[in-house]
This record gives sequence, C-alpha cells and structure tokens, in this order.
Amino acid sequence: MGMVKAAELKAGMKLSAPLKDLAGRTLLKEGAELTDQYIQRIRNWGFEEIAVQGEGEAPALPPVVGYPIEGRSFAQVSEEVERRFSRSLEDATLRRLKTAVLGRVKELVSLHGGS
Amino acid sequence: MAEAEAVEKMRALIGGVRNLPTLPVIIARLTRMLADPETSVKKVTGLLAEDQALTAKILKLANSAYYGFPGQIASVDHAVVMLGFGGVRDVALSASVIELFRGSPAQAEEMKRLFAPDRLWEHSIATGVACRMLARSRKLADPEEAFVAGLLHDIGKLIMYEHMPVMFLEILQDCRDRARPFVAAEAERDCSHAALGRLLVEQWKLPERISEPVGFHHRLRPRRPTAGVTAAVQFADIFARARGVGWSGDEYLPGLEPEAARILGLDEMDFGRFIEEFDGQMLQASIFMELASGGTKQ
Ligand SMILES: [Fe+2]
Ligand SMILES: [Fe+2]
Repeated sequence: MGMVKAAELKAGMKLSAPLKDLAGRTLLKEGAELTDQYIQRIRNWGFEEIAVQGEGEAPALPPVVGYPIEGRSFAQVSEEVERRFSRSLEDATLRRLKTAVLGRVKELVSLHGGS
Repeated sequence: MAEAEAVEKMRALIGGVRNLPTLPVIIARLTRMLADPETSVKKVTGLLAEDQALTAKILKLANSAYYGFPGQIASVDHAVVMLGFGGVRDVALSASVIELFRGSPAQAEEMKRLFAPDRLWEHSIATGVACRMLARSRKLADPEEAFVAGLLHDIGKLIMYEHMPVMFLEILQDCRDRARPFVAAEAERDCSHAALGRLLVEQWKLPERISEPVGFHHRLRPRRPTAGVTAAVQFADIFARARGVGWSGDEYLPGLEPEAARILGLDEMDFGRFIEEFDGQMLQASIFMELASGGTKQ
C-alpha cells in the first residue's frame, strides 16, 4: 500500500486500510472513498499520512467470475449474455441488470481477455 | 399449470424412491437443539464430538475467508462463539448436503452434455452467496440461513437427475431444442423441481424458513412469513444465471415476479455495486466448490 500526505489527498482516492483513532475506533473503513469533506476532516483530525489504494503499487486485477473470458472478445461474451436475457426484455429491472452485467464483462474482457 | 397436481405427483414420486438421500442424523439433532433455549455450547460441542469428520469440515469452512474469520477458529467451541449455534448448524448442513450428492451415478452421454451435478452446485453456491448478501443488506432473514436456502433451492433437480433420469433428460432436451425455460418444460409434464426439493427438505426436518423458500422460489407466497427470503432466492437464482456462474439445465432467466422485486427494493438497487461485491464473495466461497468437486486436498 502507498502512503499519501494529508496535504496531497484528493477526492476519489480510496483507503487501503481502516483509519483509526488512538483508542482503536474506526473512523473510516477500508475502501472508503475520500470526498472533499472527508479530506478536510482527516486534516482536522491531525493525520499526517494516510494509506491509500493503488498508490505506489500495481492495482490487483479483478478476478474472473462467471462467463469465461480468456481468449474471448467482448462481442462473443456479450452475445451469450444477450441470449440469456432474451426472454426477459420486457422487465425494466432485468434490462438494468443486463446493462450492469455487460459493463462488468466489458471491464473483465479489457483486463483479462481479448482474442 | 395445475400446481397442486404437480405437488401430488412429486409426493407420490418421492414416496416411491427407496434410497432417498438422508442427512447425517446429527444435523437433525443439531436443529432440534437449536430450537431449545436451554441448549448450551457444551451440549453442541458434545454432540459434534461424535462425528469427527463433520467437525473437521466445520472447522475448515468456518476458517475460510467466506465467514470472515480466516484461520482464526481453532475449535468447535470457538466456532460456536464466533458463528453462533445457527451458524455452526448452517456450515455443517452445507458441507453435508454437498457431499450427499457428490457420488451421483454417471448418466448417459446425452445427459452429460446437458447437465452435470457439480455445475449445478456452482449455480447453487452462487445463488446462496447472492441470497446471503440480500438477506443481510435487506434485513430479510438470518444471512447464513438464507445462504442455505439458496444453496438448496434447486436440489429437486438433483433428485430428478438421480431418480427420474428419463424424464429429466426429456425436460433438458426440450429446453435446448425449443429454447424454453426449465420451469415451463417441467410444468408440461406435471413436474416441479421446487415442490420436489421442498418435500426432501421437509423430510430432512429442516425448518420452514428453509423448506418454503426452496418450494416457492419460482412462485412466491407473499403472505407467508418466509416471503422475504423466498424473494431473495428468486432474484439470487436469476442473478447467478445472469452473471454466468454455473449451469442449472436451461439457458434463459426465469421470471422475476413484481412482488419479489418490490420486497427486495430492486428499483433502487445499484446492480454495478452488487456485481462487484458478489464477485468478491464468490471467490471467497470457492471453498464450497472444493467440496462439490471432491477436490479437497488433505
Ligand atoms: Fe429453480
Ligand atoms: Fe436455480
């Protein structure tokens, strides 16, 4: 994990470890995304350095779950997704789910796959 | 469809099966103990001491990342403290059920192309994982019990696979050849994997909180106290298929009932985040897949 000075924190960064006070109480959870308000508070609390995800380390690849990705193009995988949903197209909730699944597939293909 | 007839037909069918899979007696005894407010940790550990193999499995699962205390649980006493009585029962139940069906007989070549028990377990584990997430975030039920309900929801299909392979194969072929959902193809033959599953779970003397979600997962009974978990199982099943995890015999998503969507508040749900969390949880649950494929090294 990388340490970033309180003065250099930016909104959108994520904590790579929980932020705790001296008594060990958790102020912000691991993975919390920093907002300008949080950053202000962190400075007010007097922290000098904060552990932030992805700083000074290669971000871990999200692992492949579900549809096989390796050696396949997005078009190939998305065809499979479309077929599964092909009988549920009148349902707005499931259409939204399909969009989210395709988004995840696209992300995974760009990181792991491609033929 | 004539639902009552299907249930009756399934009852007759299951009644005629001589060697129906039975759970280790210890699970039923654990369930009974749990219902008793007088039960102590000592009683539970005493019971578990009678089955060392099961104890080993409980410890292995309890120490997996999935339960949140990786490598920290040294003994059954400790597992009871960390997971609670219910948690220990659910872990024991999950391990036992998966093992029960592991030695399923090999079927005809054509069947192998269309169905495999370990792929169904993959589907079922994914359903359990999603169901547990929903139960927890929606506060619908005890999350570990919801996991078990999801894990068992399609167990009726395994009964069909083992005990009525001819009919089961016919249904699978129908799904493939006529591009139909499993539920429609089985209903045409007065069959119901959900009803079958519920009957089996009832025979195992598991609580209604588990048997009803299994029995009603394709058709909610909105008035029942178990409607919340049932809705969670219904959507978790759809989600597992949509995410492409495992195989449950047919390609298309089953229907999502508006009532289930309402109970779960799906209108407001951020599916992108749900998928991200699910993917992470699914990896942690890979320990269950090891059980299903028999690939446990040791
Ligand atoms: Fe089902
Ligand atoms: Fe299913």
